[in-house]
Amino acid sequence: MREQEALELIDAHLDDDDLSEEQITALADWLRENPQHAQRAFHRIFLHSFLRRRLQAQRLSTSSTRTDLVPGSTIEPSVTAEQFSLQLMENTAVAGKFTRRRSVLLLGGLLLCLALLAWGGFMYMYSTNPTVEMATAYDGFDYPATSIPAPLPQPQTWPNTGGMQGLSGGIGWAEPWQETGAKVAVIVDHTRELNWDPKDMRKFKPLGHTDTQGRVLQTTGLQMRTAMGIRSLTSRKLDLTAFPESMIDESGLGKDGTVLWFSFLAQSFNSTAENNRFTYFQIGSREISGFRIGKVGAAPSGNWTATGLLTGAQVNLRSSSVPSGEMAFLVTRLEFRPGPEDAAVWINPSLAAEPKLAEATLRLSVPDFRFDGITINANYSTDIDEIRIGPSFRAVAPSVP
Amino acid sequence: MSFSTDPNPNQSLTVAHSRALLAKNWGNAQTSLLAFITASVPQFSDAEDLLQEVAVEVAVRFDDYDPSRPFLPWALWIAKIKIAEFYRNRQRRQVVLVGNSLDALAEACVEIQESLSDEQFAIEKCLDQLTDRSRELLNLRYSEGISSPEIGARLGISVRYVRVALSRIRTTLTECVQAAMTSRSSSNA
Repeated sequence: MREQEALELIDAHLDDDDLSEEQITALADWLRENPQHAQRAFHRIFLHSFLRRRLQAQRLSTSSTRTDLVPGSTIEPSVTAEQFSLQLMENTAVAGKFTRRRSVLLLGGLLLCLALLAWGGFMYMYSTNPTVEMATAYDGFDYPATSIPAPLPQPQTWPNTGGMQGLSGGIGWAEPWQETGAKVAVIVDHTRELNWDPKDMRKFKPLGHTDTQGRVLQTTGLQMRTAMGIRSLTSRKLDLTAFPESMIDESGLGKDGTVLWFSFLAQSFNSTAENNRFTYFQIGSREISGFRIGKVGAAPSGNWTATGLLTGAQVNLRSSSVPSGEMAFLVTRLEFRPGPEDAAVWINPSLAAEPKLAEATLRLSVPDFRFDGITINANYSTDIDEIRIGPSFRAVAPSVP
Repeated sequence: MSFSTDPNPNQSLTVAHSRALLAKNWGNAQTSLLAFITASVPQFSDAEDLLQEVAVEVAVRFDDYDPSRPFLPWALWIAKIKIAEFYRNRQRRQVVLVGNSLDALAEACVEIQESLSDEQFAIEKCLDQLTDRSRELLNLRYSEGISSPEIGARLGISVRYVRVALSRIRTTLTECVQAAMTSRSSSNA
């Protein structure tokens, strides 16, 4: 069992959800497998226990109640250590939704004082670190690696079953990945790759992004690799209930007047553009209207490209100067408007703050569209990782703290 | 787990010293004990009740404790007894962490006890970095103590999303805490 899966089961158990017998057995086996597993489990349980005691004493403030943070300043703690401890003890005695506490009389005040000491010494420092926002939909491809034919995979030996079919990790998705092409995309562990084609640009390092100030994009798991040759078609439907209702209309996600951000890491086998080689993300539909970004066959340079889609045709195609054989962190901002949408794409932006529209690598008008999932269409092997869709730049471009 | 064969290993301590030792040890161990109990008894109210019972039992049996040995493993042993009694006396729907799993967690609890104090500070700092939405979810879950289906009903989102979102928030906090603890270790090196 993977660690993330085990921790999710622990979360479910701690949230008082029922686990199946198989899950209980698998979790028990994982705990006993390695002392480090038990330690990680205990850290998780401790977090849960701490959150309970902490939030029983005082709710977390939200934007309506927080004071403004001035850079470099500290804020007086709203609760001193002693008051915090007293509140903790008081809260354990409060009747309400929970059963009334039985008072502990043994050692009376001395035990109470020692409980205060256990929580004593707290100091609250409110930092000005950037807030950590969450993507609404995310997949970091934290799955087991797929076996690929050795020694070097070729189009004729590329897998045509399995691959991403049925993989269901991440958040914000309504269903698992679906493979509907003649070949399948696979999961690769870059650290274990031994056989690299000499021309493969991906061999130097796994996908990641470090900006010019040294900030590192958060990444997890392994990475996805699209098929060599025709073709892999890998899709996944979004869980629209995970998005704010204000972003959805009867046609899907992208109601007029809303903004959505979308990002991923990518690197193609090399930058060659000949023979209509492509690997791209598509949202919306080719037949009606949509948006496409990636290595696009119609772009003569083979560079990272974005284009609108309208009744089967690519419209307003814009190509960057960044070759698709180079690793790229592509961040797209979609502003849904009455009529055509506005798309802005940044390639390898700084992670410090939301980039300016005027500094976008690509800017294009996209035919009015809605969407409810993503499709990755490929006939040229390209690695992809860290797919994020969310309400802000920060949500789709989180940096390591 | 073996304990001193001396029927009264604390006999040499005065009553006042014994109480002070108990209070000090309990203060150091209480947080870890509550987390350990929560692993088996996830309902907070039950876990807190059980902690009180363990406190009473520890106090009653304290004359049996050998002060030359670490306190937490002994207290965990008592906690395991109380957890077993809890399951015998209550109609529990499901027993998830029991037997060898619980033993593994008890060992982990002892191993990492020293770092839990720092971990609490790190969690507090990391909480401040969460978005309003994440904080709202945590308030609903832990401050108001309502279930995932109730949270979903209140916010108009699916239960599945609530569960996944809470799990994701905890993972984000865990990663933030790990980074903070690593940074702290590096700066202390």
